[in-house]
Parts: sequence; structure tokens; C-alpha cells
Amino acid sequence: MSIAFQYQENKSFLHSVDPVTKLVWMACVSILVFLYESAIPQLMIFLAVFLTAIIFARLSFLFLIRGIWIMLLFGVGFFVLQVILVPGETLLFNVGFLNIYQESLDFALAITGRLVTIFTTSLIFVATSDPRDVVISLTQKLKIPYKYAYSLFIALRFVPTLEQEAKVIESAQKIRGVGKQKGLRNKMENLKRFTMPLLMGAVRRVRVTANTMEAKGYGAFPDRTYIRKISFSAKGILFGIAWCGPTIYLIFNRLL
Amino acid sequence: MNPIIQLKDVTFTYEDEDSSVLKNLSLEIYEGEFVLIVGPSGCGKTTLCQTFNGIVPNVMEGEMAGDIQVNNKDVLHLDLKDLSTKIGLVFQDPDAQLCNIYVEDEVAFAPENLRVDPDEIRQRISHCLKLVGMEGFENRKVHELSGGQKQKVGIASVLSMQPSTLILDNATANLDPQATKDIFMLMQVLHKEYGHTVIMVESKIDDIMHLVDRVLVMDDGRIVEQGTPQEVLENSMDVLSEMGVWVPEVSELALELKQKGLHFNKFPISVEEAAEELSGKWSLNKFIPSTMKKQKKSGDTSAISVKGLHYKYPNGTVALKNVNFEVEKGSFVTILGTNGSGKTTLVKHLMGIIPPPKGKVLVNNKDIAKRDLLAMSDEIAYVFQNPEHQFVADTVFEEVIYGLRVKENIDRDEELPQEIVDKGIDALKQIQLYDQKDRNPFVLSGGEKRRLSVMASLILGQDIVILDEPTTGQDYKSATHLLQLCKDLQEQGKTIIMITHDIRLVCKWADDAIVMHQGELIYDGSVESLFMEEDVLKKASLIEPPISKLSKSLFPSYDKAVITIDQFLQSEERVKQIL
Repeated sequence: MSIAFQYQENKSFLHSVDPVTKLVWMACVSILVFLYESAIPQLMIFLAVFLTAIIFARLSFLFLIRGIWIMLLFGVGFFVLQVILVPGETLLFNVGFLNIYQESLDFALAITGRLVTIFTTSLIFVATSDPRDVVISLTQKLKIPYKYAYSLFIALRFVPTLEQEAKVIESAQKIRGVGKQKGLRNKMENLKRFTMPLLMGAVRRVRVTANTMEAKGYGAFPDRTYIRKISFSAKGILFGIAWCGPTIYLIFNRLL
Repeated sequence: MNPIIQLKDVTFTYEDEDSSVLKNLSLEIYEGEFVLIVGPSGCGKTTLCQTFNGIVPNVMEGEMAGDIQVNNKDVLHLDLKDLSTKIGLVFQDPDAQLCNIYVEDEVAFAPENLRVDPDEIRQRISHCLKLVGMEGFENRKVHELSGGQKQKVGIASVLSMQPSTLILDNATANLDPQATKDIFMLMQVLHKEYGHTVIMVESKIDDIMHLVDRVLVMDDGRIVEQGTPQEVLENSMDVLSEMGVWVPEVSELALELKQKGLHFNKFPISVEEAAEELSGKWSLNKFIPSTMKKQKKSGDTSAISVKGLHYKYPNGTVALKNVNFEVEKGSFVTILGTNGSGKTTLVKHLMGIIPPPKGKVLVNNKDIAKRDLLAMSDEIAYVFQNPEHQFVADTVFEEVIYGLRVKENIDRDEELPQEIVDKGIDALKQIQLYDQKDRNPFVLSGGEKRRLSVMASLILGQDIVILDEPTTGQDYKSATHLLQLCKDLQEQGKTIIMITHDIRLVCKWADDAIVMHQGELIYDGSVESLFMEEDVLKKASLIEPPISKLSKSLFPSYDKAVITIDQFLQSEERVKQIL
């Protein structure tokens, strides 16, 4: 999941849409899934999202399944629980002493579909949005102070470095014999052994990073300039309207 | 001329520390100067550099006394942002100072923060990347670059602020010799052609000394010597050596010759100068003793034998191509090559960190294909590059005996048998760390950490020791200390295998060399004859030791390499007659 859940460099319609519009799209999908409590509309929303991923984001079927399979597993468990616990009237069939009702099945499918859809939507957002563009649109379009938006971004930069270091420490300590002694207490000790050097390294590095950033004028002014500019494109706006329109219509349709 | 940086009686103590790092320090740096700062580790060089751009004491807080002027402005009463455009500071750890994902963003980062117009920034990006030789890397990811490339991006990322002064604080410490030389050349260009004031803190100074205008020698928070490289080396080399600072090999030789009575018109600090001074005064004695320090033995004395080893990374890149070699018991072998040539991948196979296929790697005449890492640690002690990665205990004493504790399965609160306690005490005494036995390993000095990690890895009494770049970033004193320890271990009959870039240490201490180049083994033989193989040296970007270069230019027809000062001194039988 960790590999799937990150930005995938590619050229596609959805890649070229700015992050803010995609956030709007995510909001639309989230509203839609909460409008309905039965299976058929949920399934249709999910299909719409899934097709968006395949056609507009050019993500492969396999990639999507790999990205959401943990959620699917979780969904199945959730589904079974709902089927059993939610009361219903129309008896469908029974498994042993369990009665399965049509209403509970429908509701369980809807709730599970809702979860999976929201998860898939965020997967598509992450996979098609360059993190730096996300940061820039947060500051340029949503006017969030860049100091906050950037901290998230900088954390992303150090993930690969930390991953590498963790691997080195693991084998370095294995050679010393860490892991030979069994038992819960030794396991706890080993956890501490592993974290210490990683933490020491990180703390030292963070200090240098903070120093360089200060020396490069980070935070010197309340705002800054950007070499990249995020702008709304015509097709992005069209994409937004294509989702917002039906959503608004359906909201009125359901509530009035 | 007005100094661009001026410190007057500066004393600085970090928060939570008792003794001051800078003590009544005064110095001046003039516009357009190229200054080198040397000094033993922990003498305050880094703190000094950080006072120039106000990180100390504005970010790194503490108690500051004295007066600091940069461009005639008082640093202590100035905001950091007003200083950053004047001074560009590059640090040692390339990973820590690059905080963006893409190269382009990294170079744009500072001017963006300083609200420079985007069009202007675009121009600066292409200009700065071109200056450091990294054009075309705009959209590459920083973490995928090599160490040398990262440092070049680091330099570009401060150049984009258009500072008048550039400071490199030990920025080449983690680089291989070629990458280091590239950075030195770059600084020379920036100084000469673009008029930057350049300040460099360096520990390996063979290739930089002759490029600089002035050398500042620092010790214990003070400037103890300063002057042109010639002055400093000729007059205070003994002070430098005593401090544990690296001095150019050529100057070390020159001092020896001077003490023997040889007169120099100009005290030499580079190979060219030495060759000029010595030509005609120095002739060749045919009987230079070889540095071959051991006799070849025959029979089953193989410690490690590698046969036809191939390796591909999971992503398909070939890392090792048909590597064959043998390491004899009791030898001191060094593995050389640029970063990324396959050295580390190779030794990982010897240890089983990467499990080798059947029949490819034999350790003590046994195939290690099926053995796991834990089993291998009984045969080979492997010392990682960063000693902290291997630390597992809370005290120095527990650290050194940890291997035995695990082997005998003695729990933390169980009492240790006297035998193990004695072994630990002996081991610590051997590395002069016994009086520190109750301290936490993490608080030791860099050199002490390395020695402790060597000793702790060896506590099970393994016969083979592999060390991965053990002297990186160390000053002369602690590097020599560590190599002496290796030599002692060799004399106890152990086999030493060391990955390193430090050619001077190799020449002085190692017997044999293996050279890797793009996954292939291109040399396997004595260290001495390596320097006669010009194509190997060129291919692997190995930088010849200055002594060897000097001897080659003095005696072009001589068919053996002269690689240590001792050897060179013995190359002349009639020293006294000439003088």
C-alpha cells in the first residue's frame, strides 16, 4: 500500500487538472456517497469514480486494486458485521441460525461501498497530484500560510532517506547479534536499540536542515514568490462543473 | 582594504554547555580572498562558520560576547534574512541541507523565500546549475543523486541567492576523491572568474592547499596561526601535526628534507613546486626498499575466495560482473573505487548481507551460500560506516561485550562471568577507552565511536574484519589511531579488509588493493604496483598520492612506484653529499 499510495508521474487529463479542482471533485464524491443509503446508487458512484481513474487518470486496473485491496479486505469484514447487526424485515435466506434480511444486506453494501469509494477517490487524488503542486495550490489558491503548507512537504522529502537509513541500521545491528535473544523483554530492548540511532541521526539532520532553511531566508517574509504557478485551466473548470452540476442537482432532488 | 568579515574578541558558549566553543577569537576576511580553515575536530570550525551568517547566535542560541561585522553591518543586531543574501553556507551532510524533492525547486528555494521575481529566478536556476555543471538536472529528484551531485546542487542552491561570499563547511567529507577534486576546481573557478570570496573548512588538504590565498589554523576555539600556505606550513607544521590535522604530503616530505639540511628557495606545498625545487638536487638510488610488508604463503591460507560472482539489483541494474579474487589470511587488503562502483555491494556478499549463490563465495574455505547473517557474524566482524548504526547498549562497557552476552545468552540483569568482564576490560584498554566505560556510546567523540565499534564487532574473536570507509571525515589523529588499531589486529593474525577513499592511508598501511570499476574488478595486486597501472588509476578515478606523482615527475624512467615518505627518503643514498 505504501508504494501505491504516492504520486505517480504520468501524463493524463487528471494529472493536468489543478489540485484545488481535484479537491472540489473529492468533495462532490463525498457529498454524493452520503446522499444515498442503498446499494445501487452507491455502486454507480463507485463505478463513476473507478472509470474516472481508468479513463481520465490513466491508472491501471491492477494499480487501483493494489491500492485499495487493504481497504477492500477491511470492507468485507465491515460488510459482514453490518449484515449481521443491522435489523431488517424482508427475510432473504438464513445461514445456520443467522437470518439475513434484504434491508440489512442493502444497507451494508451501501455503507461499505461508501468507504471504498472515498478511499479510492483519495488514492486517485494522491496518485495524480504532484506534492509540490498541492503545497503551492494550498498557499496560492487557498491562502494557507506557506510555512504550514511547506512543513508537510519537507517531511515527504525525508521519507526515502529515513527508509534507507532504517535498512542499514537493521542489518548493522543484526550483525551485532541483535535478534538472537528471544522473549518479549528483549524484543522491547531491540526496539529501543533500533530507534536510538535512527532518532539521533534524524535529530542531528533536522537541526542542520532548520539551519540551512533559515539561512536561505525561509520564513523571513510572510509571503514568497513561486517559480511554479498553479492556474485553473478551461478543461479543469469543465471537469469541476461536470461533477458539481449533477451533485447540486441531486442534493436538491434528495432533500426537497 | 576593508574586511568583508570581521570578528573582534568573539566568545561564544552554546546554551546548556559549560565551556565556550569560541574563545576571544578575532579574524578578518577580505573581499575576493580564498581562505582555508583547518583544525582538529571539535575545535569550533563549524560554529565559527555559522557566526558569519548569523545562524549562531540567532538560531543556535547561546551566550555571545564580542563584535561581528559582515559587509560593515553588525551581525548581532541584524535579521537573518538581511545576511543570507551576503553569505552562502554549504554543510557537510548533503542529505540534511537539501529540503526539496526536485533539483529545480531546491535552487529556487532561497530566492523564492526572498521574494525574487519568478522570471529572474528562472534565469538564476539555469545560470547556477550551469556553473556547478548540473545543467539538465532541473527535474531530477534530489534523493536519487550521488553524493557529489547533491553537494553541487547544494552549492547551486546558495549561489542562487547571489551571495558575495561562499562558505563550505567540510562539504567534501562524504565524497570520493574525484568528486572532491571537482568541488575544489569549482570553488577555484567561482573565486577566480566570478570574484566570490571563498572560505573553506577542509580536513583533506592535499589538493586544495596550493589554491588558497590564506590559511587559518584553529585550535580550541582560537585562531592559533595564520598566513599564506607556505608560511603556515613552513613555520608551524609541527604544531599542525601535533594538533592532529592533515598536512600536505609534499610539505611533510619537504620538512623532513629541510631538517636534513636541504635548502628550498620556496617551501613547496604542491607536487609541481616540489618537483621544481628538487629536480637536479635529487637523484635515484636503484635500491628502494619495497613496501611489501608480508611474504606470500602458499597452501590453504585463503581467508576469503570469490569465484565468478555476478549480481543484479532487483531493478535490473548490474552491480557486479564476474568478480574473482582471493584474500589471504593475515593480509591487509583495501578495496578502492568511486562511489557506486560496486565496493559496498561486493563486501555485502562476503558477509551474507546479500546472500551469494552457491559456490561463489568461500569464507575460511567454506561455502557461505546457505548461511545467514547471524551465523556469519561468528566468522567475520563487519564495521559499518556510521558507528552509531551499530550501537546497541547504554554504556561503553556493555557495548563492547554485547556480542558475548548474546552468544552466552546472558540476560540483562544476570551477572556476567568474570571471564567476559576481563575480556571487555582488555578490549577497552586496547583502544584507550577503559576510563570511559560507564559513558553512553553516543556521547563519545567521532574517533572514539569508530574505535569502539571496531572493538565491539570483534569481541567474538573473529579472524576477518571488514571496515566500510572507517576514516571518512576523521582528522589525521583519529584516522591514524584507527589504522594503527587495524595494523595491531593484523599483527595478531587477523585479516583486514577495508573500503576507503583515503589513498594516503592506503599507501602507508595496506598491503594489497582491489580496485572496482562499474561492477568489474579491474585490479588485484599490491598497493605499490597499483600506481604504475596508469589505465587502472584513470578508469577508477583514483587520485595518486602526491609522493608518487612527485617521484614520477622526478624520475620518469623509474619502473616502480614510490608511495610513502619513508620510501622517498630512501631513494637517495647520497643526501648529505649533495647538501
